Amino acid sequence: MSKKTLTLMSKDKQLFNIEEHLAVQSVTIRNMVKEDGASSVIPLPRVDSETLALVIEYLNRQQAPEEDEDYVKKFVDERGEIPTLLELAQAALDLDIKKLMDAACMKVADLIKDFTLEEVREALRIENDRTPEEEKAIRDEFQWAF
Amino acid sequence: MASTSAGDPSSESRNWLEMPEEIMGGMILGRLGAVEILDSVQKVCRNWRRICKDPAMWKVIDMNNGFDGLNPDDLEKVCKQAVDRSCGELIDITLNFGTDDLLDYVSLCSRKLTRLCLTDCYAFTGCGLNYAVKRLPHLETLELSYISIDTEEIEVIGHNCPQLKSFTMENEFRDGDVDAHAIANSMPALRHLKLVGSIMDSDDRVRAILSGCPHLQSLDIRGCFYLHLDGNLEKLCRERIKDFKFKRNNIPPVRNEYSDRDATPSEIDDFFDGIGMDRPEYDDEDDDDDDNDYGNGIDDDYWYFQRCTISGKDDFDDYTVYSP
Repeated sequence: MSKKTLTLMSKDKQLFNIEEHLAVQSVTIRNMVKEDGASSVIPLPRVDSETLALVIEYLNRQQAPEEDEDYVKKFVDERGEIPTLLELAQAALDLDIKKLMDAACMKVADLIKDFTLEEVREALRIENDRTPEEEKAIRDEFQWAF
Repeated sequence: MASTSAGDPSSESRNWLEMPEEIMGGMILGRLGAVEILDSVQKVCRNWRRICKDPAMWKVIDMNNGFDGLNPDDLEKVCKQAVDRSCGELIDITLNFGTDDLLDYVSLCSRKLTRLCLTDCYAFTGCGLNYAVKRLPHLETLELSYISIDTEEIEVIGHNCPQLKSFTMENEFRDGDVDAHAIANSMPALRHLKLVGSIMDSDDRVRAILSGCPHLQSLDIRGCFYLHLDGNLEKLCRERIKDFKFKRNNIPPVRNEYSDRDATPSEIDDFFDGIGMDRPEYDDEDDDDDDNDYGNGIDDDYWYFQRCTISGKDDFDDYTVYSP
């Protein structure tokens, strides 16, 4: 008997096949399968196709349980770009794959740990939206830092 | 950017501020040190400032890094800020500076605290710690290294923290025999015990720990250098305790009054292995590894190594050594 396959759809409408017994490492998918057998396509409206491909790669290459910790660490280490890791963390949140989410978040924290204020803004494309008054309020609050 | 796909224009201008807050807040920013968060992260933008005010960000406070340019008084202010922001939700704090006054502040505001870790600061005293733990009914994990505490105070802590499940005591040249007695007498609920650097040379004390702490799941006495468990006792420990760590004939890296020679390189490796730490990095090819020359690899381990390097008798006399 051939193994049952599920189809996942990314937000840009690309389809990905994955064997059900691997896909159910995601608690979200496991619950769907339990509820209705998940015969049709499972849409993932917040996950783009590149990220979904990574998640599928992660799910497909699962190791023996005792090697799992090292594997997931290596997996996120190899994808050291902050935007990739954030996408991965969000996909892992939506799909409820705790280990992957923890590892991706930890890696991002590690990366931004040594960044300056400007580097953080640049890496995450965040604009400083604070008014001069707010800047002053923070300075007053934390005079020790200046 | 690896994640930017040509077919998906939205990712180019992806707004990371829209990330679910449970990821950006607790999972990522909350992992950074308190100084970093207050000094830097919260200044990034309005949204992050709001996230940084959420008590959920401050359940764990790590004051162990971000030291640059701040003196102890400032650090104490930072720490009090962080504790204030936790709004009583604090469960885990690590401090490597501070005074009994700070400890008092933390304990007053943090009844939910389950883990307290104090390292490298002789300004904390056993007396101050005792005051603090009386207010921390949920304390389960206590890690102490290099603080001023005497054996009676350890025993009082034990009696005041009936829920204490994990205890770590790290300090060279303590009278480990007396400490072991205090622990066995006062911490019956312990699951995990680690003693590093104690001068414990009596097997009876290990027996006392075994009977005083019947629920022990892990016991790490690799750092007790002068212990020579007899075969039966070692066997008993291994039977009773799932995770038992003990190493015979550990020689501290530098001569002191307990060892009459310098340790060999492999014994130094054994030493750091014995206390569960990596050996400090220094250039192996550099023959000139005198006390003051450890290259650029100065880090925590380096300081640890320095503390272990009680090289002369004169220095050694500064330490109080009790005789068992």
